[in-house]
Amino acid sequence: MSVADIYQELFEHSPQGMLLIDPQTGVPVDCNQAIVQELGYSREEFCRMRLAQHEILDNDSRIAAGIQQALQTGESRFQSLFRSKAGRSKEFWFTLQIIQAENRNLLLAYCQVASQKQQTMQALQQAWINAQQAHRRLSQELQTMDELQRSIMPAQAYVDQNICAWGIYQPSGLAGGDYFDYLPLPEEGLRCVIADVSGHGARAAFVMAMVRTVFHFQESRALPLSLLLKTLNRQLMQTVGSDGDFVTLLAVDILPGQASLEYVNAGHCPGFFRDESGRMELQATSPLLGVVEDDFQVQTIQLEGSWDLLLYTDGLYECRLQSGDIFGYESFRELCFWLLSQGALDLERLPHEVARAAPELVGFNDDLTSLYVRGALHAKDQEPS
Amino acid sequence: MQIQSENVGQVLVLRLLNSRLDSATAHDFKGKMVDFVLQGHLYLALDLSQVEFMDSSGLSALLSTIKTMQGRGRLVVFGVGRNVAQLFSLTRLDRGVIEIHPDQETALQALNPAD
Repeated sequence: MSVADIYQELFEHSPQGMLLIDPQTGVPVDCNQAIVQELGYSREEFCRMRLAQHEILDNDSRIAAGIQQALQTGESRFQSLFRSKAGRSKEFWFTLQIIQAENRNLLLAYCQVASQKQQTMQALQQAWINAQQAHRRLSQELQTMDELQRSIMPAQAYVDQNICAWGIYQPSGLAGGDYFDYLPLPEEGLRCVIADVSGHGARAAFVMAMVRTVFHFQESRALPLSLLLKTLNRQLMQTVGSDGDFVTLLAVDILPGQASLEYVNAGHCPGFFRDESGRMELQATSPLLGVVEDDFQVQTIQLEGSWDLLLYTDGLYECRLQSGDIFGYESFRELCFWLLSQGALDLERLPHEVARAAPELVGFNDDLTSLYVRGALHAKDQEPS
Repeated sequence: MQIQSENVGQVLVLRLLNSRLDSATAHDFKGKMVDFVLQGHLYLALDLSQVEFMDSSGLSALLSTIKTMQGRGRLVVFGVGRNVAQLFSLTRLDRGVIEIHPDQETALQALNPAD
């Protein structure tokens, strides 16, 4: 038996359908027994018809497209639904490869009936691809929102003769509703704010943008904190309150001329204040925003000498440990006061410090936002009483 | 989110069986709570003794349920653990917004004043 005979035998008795196609006409030049048996034609009948004539078309011929692709790239893979001579439909997987024979291009086609399992697998694969594409698009949207959020928060530190303020926002990738800001007050001093909108995603990001807008109105800067928060609270109750959304917010007016710091804490985690005489927590003075009416009473701290203030969002201490517990507020508070006392607080490194203090930390699940203010009050800064 | 329910008089006692009420479970929790309200259960006592952690999403779902019930019924919570109590305290919701009772007995007394 010659080599050519062996190849002919392989072609003829392959359990997989095989055929040679003339790419110009789309008509089979030759085919094996497997393909004609599947479709119920004699070999002569099958080789008289263009391959595309067997297709059950939903729109364009996949055979025609597959031939074009194979001619351009050397190979194509596709599936197509065929009708047998008896009128039954059968799904086929095709692989077309271009070969040279008798001084012309021919297409060698392998075809296999797709089983129900294969069809289900194919549908699952397609669904998986669609889901991945949708996920990619959604991730890109969230990434865009994260970038937008980052861009509307201060990128530079605030520095004047009395105060230095610096904040960072480290997004979780879920487009959260964290917000920090520092805005010079019209007369003198600095207004600092940190806030956290419940939940994640577009809704939280939208509410966060609302909060920022209120703080950035020129008119708002002249408003005392109690009135500003009352206005903001009312707006939030009207717009998002009925759905259970809320905002925790801690706003601080630093007034060097009055040697004081005024704050309102609307359900936000306590700020950490430290000066030469000791330390204190800026506890919540009102419920969180968007839930109930309140008067938002202002609290005052007298400033003397040098002092530090750290504001943050709960993502920094609600991080999960291997035990299933969380790092927790108390542990975080002690860590922060210790760092402040050592003059070693670095906002960029704060998550690392948490991880170092809790070796069994699993990870952070939320946005991480913090705002650090340092001040030093000199006798000449105080207005004469 | 697994919730076990039990009728005690006019009160439906709901026991949360998950240890976390967070962004992963809050949506489901909210949906189930709304279902209870729509089924006509307007006096709810929520047992949080199994809940070790609640984040802002969980809190939002709880507040949403309380708001849904406003003017129609009442929701109280009991069995609040350390972490959740701290969350209620930090957010000042323990001062009149969320009605917190130490145990089921006092929660039921609050909702069944005639008993």
